[in-house]
Amino acid sequence: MLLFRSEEHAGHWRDARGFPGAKTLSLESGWKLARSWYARKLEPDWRRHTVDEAEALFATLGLTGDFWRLR
Amino acid sequence: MPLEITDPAEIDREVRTTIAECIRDRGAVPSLAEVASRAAVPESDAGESFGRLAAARVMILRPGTTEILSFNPFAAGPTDFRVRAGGRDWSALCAWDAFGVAAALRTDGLVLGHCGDVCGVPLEVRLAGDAIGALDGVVMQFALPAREWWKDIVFT
Repeated sequence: MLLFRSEEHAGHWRDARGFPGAKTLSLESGWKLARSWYARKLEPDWRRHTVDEAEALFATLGLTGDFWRLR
Repeated sequence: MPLEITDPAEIDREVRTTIAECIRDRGAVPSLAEVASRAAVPESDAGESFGRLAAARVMILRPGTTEILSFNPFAAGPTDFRVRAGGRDWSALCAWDAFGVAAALRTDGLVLGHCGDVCGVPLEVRLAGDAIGALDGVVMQFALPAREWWKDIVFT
């Protein structure tokens, strides 16, 4: 996951590198995703999300569709 | 004197929490030797645990070694994504992990990276509570669909 100056720059990279299905995310959504995903990583009782939990988490952030499916 | 822990799940928990403590206490991802010493487990047991934790996608090892490349989101060495958070400087393998450093530390952060396109322009993102500070239009891009992320997690 990379940062891009703009959607145009992301699209140029996508075309040049051959990843036509790549998806961009706003920084706000990326921050929400990071907080949801990693907030407990340093806690003793941390555990990985199950596939169902991860897909549900994506969905709460509006990240739905085939791109965000884990199976 | 090493602890007499024989249950792999117990060793893995001890090793994982020790890595987390090192990150909190020292601001750095520890070596295998440091984890074994701090957790008081034999280095061979800690190494086996590193392998299990990597297989379980808790962390990523440097290829062909039993040293940590990233206890996601915390990268062990310099990368293209730097983060200032909690009074320290950190590294992350990708933009999501860079944001994740501040998230895991539960603090605000400043992410320093570059545009992934050929321009390579430096980009800063300030993460402060629910607020984001960055140039207008900056975005994060995922090259691969979620189900393919772990096929080559370092590239991802």
